[in-house]
Amino acid sequence: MRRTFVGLAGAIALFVLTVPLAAHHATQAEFDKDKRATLTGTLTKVMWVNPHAMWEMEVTDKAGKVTKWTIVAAGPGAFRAAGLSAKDYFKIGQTYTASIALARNGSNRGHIITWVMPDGKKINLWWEDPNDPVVGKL
Amino acid sequence: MRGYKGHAAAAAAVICVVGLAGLVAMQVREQRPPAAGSGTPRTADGKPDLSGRWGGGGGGGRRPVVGEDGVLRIGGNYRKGNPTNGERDSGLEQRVGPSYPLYKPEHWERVDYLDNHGNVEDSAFHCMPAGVPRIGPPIKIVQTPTELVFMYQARNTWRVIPVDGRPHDPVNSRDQTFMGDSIGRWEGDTLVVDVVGFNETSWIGWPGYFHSGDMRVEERLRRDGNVLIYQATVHDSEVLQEPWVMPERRLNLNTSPRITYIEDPPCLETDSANLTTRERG
Repeated sequence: MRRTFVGLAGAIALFVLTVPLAAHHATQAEFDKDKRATLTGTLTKVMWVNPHAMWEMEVTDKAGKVTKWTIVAAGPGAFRAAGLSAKDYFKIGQTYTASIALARNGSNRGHIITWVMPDGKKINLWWEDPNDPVVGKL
Repeated sequence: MRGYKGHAAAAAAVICVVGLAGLVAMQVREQRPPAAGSGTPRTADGKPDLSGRWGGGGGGGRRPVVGEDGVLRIGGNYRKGNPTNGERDSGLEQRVGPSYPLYKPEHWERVDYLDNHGNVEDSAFHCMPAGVPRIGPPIKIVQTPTELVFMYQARNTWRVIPVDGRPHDPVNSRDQTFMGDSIGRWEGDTLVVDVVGFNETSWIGWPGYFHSGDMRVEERLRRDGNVLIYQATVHDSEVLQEPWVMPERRLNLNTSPRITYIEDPPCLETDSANLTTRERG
């Protein structure tokens, strides 16, 4: 699938905005980027809305208790620009792993950092490694 | 002038934090040279042909990259690899841009307040339309001899600009709208759009730049080869000392056979109920 990703990225490069739109922002006011969690659970809802795409996941702990989580991301346009469709990449009922920054208010809510898809592919939505060799290619 | 000075001092302080390198990068990005091309196409009636799809995809995204590890990276190239810096730098960029409106002294305090409470006060944060001129240039234009249709990606917005010599509509021009009542005219090869009839809800810029209901916006659009040049001036003598000439925007003609105009999904803002600080970026 990596080859597919490369193809998508190359094709989409043609469509990058001339001037970026003003982002919604305020994620720092809502999420603590130093307080992380990793959830593995069943995707139950996909909300392809502005200003942030959202998902709902049901996570079952070792005792069998099910907890519902809301995962927040960038707007749907960012996924479109990356060649990712909601239907092909986020499928209800399948198992996903989400690395998130937790909501500051303690609710079951997080901002996505990395998705691990059911087939193991990874999508990183935040660039966090200053030594990442691909950063310099932008 | 206290508010103005405070605003400028705060901006200057943040500039020092970020460093000049970042600002230089911003300027370079803004000053993209016009695309090399042939002459400017014209319509049958001799006007410059502004029709076309202008700029990128309207997706708001940055260029996706696949690393050696096969991981698809959608996020931005943030300073020091810290996504928080991405927001803060973006906010800074919008506060210390190449131009800002010069408010009358008694209004700077309100500008500061709105900027500091943007998560509550900025209607665009709560899914309202950005409005003219904050929405910027159209991404698609359809031109006829009597009218032009401006299309925007955000909120699936469109405007119809008559160029048949009619005056402003007496009712619509006194309405309270985000996009205003527009009439256009050709001045040589420049399309000039006069827009009035605004509400007092929208802002003209991210840092709390409000306007009065008597604001008048003049947009000027011209085509140079395959580049659309857009410039807007805000006239609002009720709150501004002088008209604000907004920075020029240039959009390249998008000739990709794959480009299209797609639905912008509805806006459902759920962040406000979960915010714990006033930080917006």
